[in-house]
Amino acid sequence: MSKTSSVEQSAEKEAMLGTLPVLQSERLYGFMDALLILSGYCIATWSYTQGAYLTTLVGFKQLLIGAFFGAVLMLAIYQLPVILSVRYGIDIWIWLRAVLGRKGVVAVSLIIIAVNYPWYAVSADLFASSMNSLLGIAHLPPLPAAVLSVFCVAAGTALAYKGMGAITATTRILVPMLLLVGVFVLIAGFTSVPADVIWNYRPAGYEPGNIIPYIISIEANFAFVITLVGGMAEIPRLTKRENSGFWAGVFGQGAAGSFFVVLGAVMAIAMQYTTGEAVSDPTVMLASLTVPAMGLCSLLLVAFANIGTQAVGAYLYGVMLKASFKRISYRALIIILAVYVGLLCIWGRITEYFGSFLTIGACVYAPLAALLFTDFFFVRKQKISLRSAYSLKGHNAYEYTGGFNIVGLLCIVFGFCMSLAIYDPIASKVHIPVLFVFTPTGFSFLSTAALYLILCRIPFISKYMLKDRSECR
Amino acid sequence: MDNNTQNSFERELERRLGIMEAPDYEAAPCFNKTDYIITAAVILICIAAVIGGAFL
Repeated sequence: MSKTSSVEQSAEKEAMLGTLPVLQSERLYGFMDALLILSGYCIATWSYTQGAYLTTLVGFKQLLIGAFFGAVLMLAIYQLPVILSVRYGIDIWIWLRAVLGRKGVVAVSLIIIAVNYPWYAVSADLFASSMNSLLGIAHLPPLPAAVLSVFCVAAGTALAYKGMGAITATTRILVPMLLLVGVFVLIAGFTSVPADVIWNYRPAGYEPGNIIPYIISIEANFAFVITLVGGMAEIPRLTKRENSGFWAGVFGQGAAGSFFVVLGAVMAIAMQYTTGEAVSDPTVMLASLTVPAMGLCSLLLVAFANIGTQAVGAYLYGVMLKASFKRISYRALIIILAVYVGLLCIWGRITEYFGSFLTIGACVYAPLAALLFTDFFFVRKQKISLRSAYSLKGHNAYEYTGGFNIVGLLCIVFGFCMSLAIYDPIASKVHIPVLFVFTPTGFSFLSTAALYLILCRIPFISKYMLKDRSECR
Repeated sequence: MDNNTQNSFERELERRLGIMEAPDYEAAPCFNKTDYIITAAVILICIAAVIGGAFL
């Protein structure tokens, strides 16, 4: 291999697995490939857990509306700024240097990783539980949960280690198979009990006219889909058209991901009807609702799906961290992430504490998404100085106050507080009913966007925020 | 990242920015007016469905 071609390959690798802008000629994906990868990311055991959780709140028709229309609504709004990633070939975290400051991005991305990445420990934990159920069906002794969950993390990380080629090849085969099995399981769920048991399902304690459980279910759907905000741009920045990157994100989660949420709900309702138990483990569901051998389908629905999710997640968050820690290689970063999740798996109690931890964490995502949306469309009006964003010599528009943008960070704290002021997720208590109809995530998004826009209209703040205008073409 | 790597990163970045700023650079097709109209329609349909769902 010539020296020039080696340098070119190294630069291309740094673009794909790092922070350099990806050129149009290097883009890998059309709409369909991006859709398959993002669908593969969204289809994991947590979809069934979410579906089973929603059945405790609302009837099946409201569940369908929330899972599809609620999810697509939030996605179609908060994912709009991914078009910047396609336009410039960059991650949103490069743009966010303009909103939060260089050091502000490091601080917020670390918080997002700390709060969000334990999702993968939960996924690995569910993988272990399902695999042990499968071993039980085969009359084999169970394996230690920590061993199985660390295996799931290691397998996903190994795929991500190989780069996007391995992930793309895997999802091209895996996702269509998952969707096919999903349709089969949906039919099995509907035929294992009278169809009207599912269609007319109402949760225990249903009160006609009480709108609060419905709003909580919509909030659960908003919170569920907005967790991707930190890693939403890594795949779209590799797509060839702005609309492909955007719609792949919206439908990857809002259609494919939501289909598996509904699948989890159907199986949970059917299980409740046939066994009296609200089970969300797909292996047990399949074995109980069809024939025990069908539990083997969970090898696909759980094993491969969770490993695929782990792989895409490692890539997304590895690249996201790369924006903050450019001195550390992508591969070293995904190994650090794997160690973090592996330790949580060995600890073994993440699922027990995760509900409260995650709900509070979700309060950070909405203000972050609101800032990006408002900054891109209304403050910076789709123009950024890439030279300042990358801190090239002589370009310091985003240095702000010691590397922190006080205005952006203040807005995040404001949005976080607004969310908690409306609803206490730990005690499940509504504090401000009139604002609760917007849902905590929805109102936090709207109020943060409004505050940020108003602040940026004040002349001296505008001067602080928009030092980059002379550099923007 | 040592100084050499940092310098080569910055050189590569400048090269890429130069390519992207060139008048003949073929950028990704933009999100156009039709895309925005479709997105707005999807958002409105979803809002209507979510509000309607409260009355089921």
